[in-house]
Amino acid sequence: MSRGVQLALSCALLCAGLALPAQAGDPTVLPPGTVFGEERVRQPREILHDEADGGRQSDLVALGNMAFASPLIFGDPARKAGLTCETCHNQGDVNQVFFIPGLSDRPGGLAVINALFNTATTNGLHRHIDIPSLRGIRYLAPYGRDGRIAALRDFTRNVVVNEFAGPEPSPKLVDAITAYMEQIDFLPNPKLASDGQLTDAADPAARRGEVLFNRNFPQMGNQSCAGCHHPSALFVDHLQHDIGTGGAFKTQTLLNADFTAPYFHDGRYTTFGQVVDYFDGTYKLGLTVADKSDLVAYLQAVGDGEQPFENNTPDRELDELLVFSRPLERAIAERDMPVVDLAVGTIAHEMRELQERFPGPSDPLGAGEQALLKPARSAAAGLVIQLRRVQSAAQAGRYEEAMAALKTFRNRADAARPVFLAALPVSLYDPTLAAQHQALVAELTPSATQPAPLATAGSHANP
Amino acid sequence: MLVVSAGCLLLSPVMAMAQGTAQPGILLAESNSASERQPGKGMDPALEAKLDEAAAAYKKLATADIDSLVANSDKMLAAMQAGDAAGARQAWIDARAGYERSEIFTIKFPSLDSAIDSWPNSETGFHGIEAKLFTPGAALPLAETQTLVDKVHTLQRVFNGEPLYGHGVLVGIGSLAFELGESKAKGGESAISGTSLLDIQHNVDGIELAWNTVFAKIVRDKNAGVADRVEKEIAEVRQLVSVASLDQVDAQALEQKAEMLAGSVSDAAVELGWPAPDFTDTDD
Repeated sequence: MSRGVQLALSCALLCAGLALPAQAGDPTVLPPGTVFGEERVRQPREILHDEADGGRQSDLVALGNMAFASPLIFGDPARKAGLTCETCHNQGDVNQVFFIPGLSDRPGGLAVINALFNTATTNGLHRHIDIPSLRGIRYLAPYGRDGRIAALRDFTRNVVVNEFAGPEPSPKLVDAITAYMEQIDFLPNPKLASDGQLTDAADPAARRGEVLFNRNFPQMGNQSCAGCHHPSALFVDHLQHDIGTGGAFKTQTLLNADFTAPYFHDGRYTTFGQVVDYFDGTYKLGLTVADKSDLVAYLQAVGDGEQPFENNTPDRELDELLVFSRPLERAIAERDMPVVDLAVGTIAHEMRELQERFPGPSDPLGAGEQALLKPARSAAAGLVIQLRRVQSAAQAGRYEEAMAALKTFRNRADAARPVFLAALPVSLYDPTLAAQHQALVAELTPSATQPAPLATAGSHANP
Repeated sequence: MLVVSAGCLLLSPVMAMAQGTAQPGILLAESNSASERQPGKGMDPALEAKLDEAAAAYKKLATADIDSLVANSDKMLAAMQAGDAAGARQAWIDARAGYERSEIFTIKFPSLDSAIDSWPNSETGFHGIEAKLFTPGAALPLAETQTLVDKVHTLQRVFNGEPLYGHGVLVGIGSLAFELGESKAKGGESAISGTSLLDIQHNVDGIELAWNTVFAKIVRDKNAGVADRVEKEIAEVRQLVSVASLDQVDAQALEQKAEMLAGSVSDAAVELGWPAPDFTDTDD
């Protein structure tokens, strides 16, 4: 394939909201063909409850948010691979392109118990699990696709220690990560009233589907779909059911599900239509073509959400890193060196990734635009180094110096903001340039056979 | 160049002309040199002279790397012309060693650096050649190699015709140290040939040579603590990359140590009376 064709294809994929399948993470740790999709500019929109209410992330939430984005809480090889909670739960949602050859049967999940990430817990079984969204997770107990763990906090520790071989996290850190996840709200959906009934904003097909959804079917033990997916209870019943997919699994919410395909615990279905067909076939419901279409319309209306995606910008990233700097400040004050090291390592790495979105003069895409790009690169590098000064001073027990260095970091971050924004149009924050860059990188990155990108994401265009 | 280029030399040909330090003609076109002798404001002239002398000594040593780059590039072309793919591959690896050690100062010549070592780029330069030379069944990239040979000869000529100054070498050390921090993350620069680890090791060689030759003693006389810190961090970085294969490099540890080293090199600049070249300056 010529590069021209490849670039055109890349742009087409990106415009469809899909990332290019290019090598991700650390390819010396992960198999060739691994896809994290971190280079994507478009990402799920995250709403944190207290911020949406006009408050801010507490220091505890900010600590959890930071740890969520850090590979340093995991053990090897996840840590070395650069894998984080955020990798799979992108902006607290899902990652539809995530794929690790050998571990993933399809994009968007993996056999999370495996010999690669933790030999102590591997059991010789390969069970692909679809990555769940964490939107509204505080309402969605129990946890795990099979609902085996009652409390989110316990589940979180299990992910860190048993799934990704991390060292035992401090109680405070587990509290923090849990507190952060409990902040993640559903996207608002004007098609739903607070009792889960459709509003006038929903179309007639969806309203017909709503009636079907609430109809009791003798073939399902005189139950309705709503019998498990309670509309007035965020479409869950907090129970596990065996619907013939290989065991009992907990009822998933349908809220914001337009953006979380594929579906079922193992992600076997990519569309709502396939899901409806499964129930119709399994329980011999005798749905007509029109019935099925109405049910799909209903699921789409329930699964909708306002402004599901947004573009990543240096502004947004800088804001987040400044939020992360608050638990760092607290850790310096409390002489909490493990958190200082965690925070500096995480913020510095994120800042470096920000820097890499401003191509240097030897990058084919950056060659002509250095007047804007170079200052941005320099500012970002300076911020990284300033953070390491904070760490060095704290490690040497010079806490006042560390605090002063952190203050300098913040001042420089404020000064860097307009520099980053000026370079944005010629940076890899531009979706088209990002796609072109990924295509170039892919040519120089040995990789195995790439997985087919997900065909559809439960979108309205592709029911 | 590593994955991305440092882009922190605060130089411009215009300033070079103004200061009368640039060579005319081709040198001006190819080089981004010259004001690196700045910013000497407040610097003790005796110290500055000592640094320039040390930089000149380093240049003599660095010449061997550039000569090796040129000789091995010539050898690669000759091997390809003889249809000797294995010989060409070895010469490619050997040529890169000289180049990667020279990255302390190749950022002085951005257009040449880009032509020689642009990444990601599978069309021209070392990595364009790599993409074909190390891919079984691909035709030998003769035309690309001829272009590379021309460029490295130009680099040699330009390099030989220009002085190195202490400040430029120090900024080169700091920039390269910073870049080392990300060199593992994406599997390295030379993934197709499987020689990314060598790239990283040769970068460390370059840093160590430049520091030891130009700054070790002079900075130690000013502030032994800073010199100790730089040397400890160079040793730590060295240890992190002294492994059998790239997968054994701890990317996060390398990132941390390399960034701390860049910070310490910046501190060393301050000890010498220069403003901290911590990559935040944008006034070029």
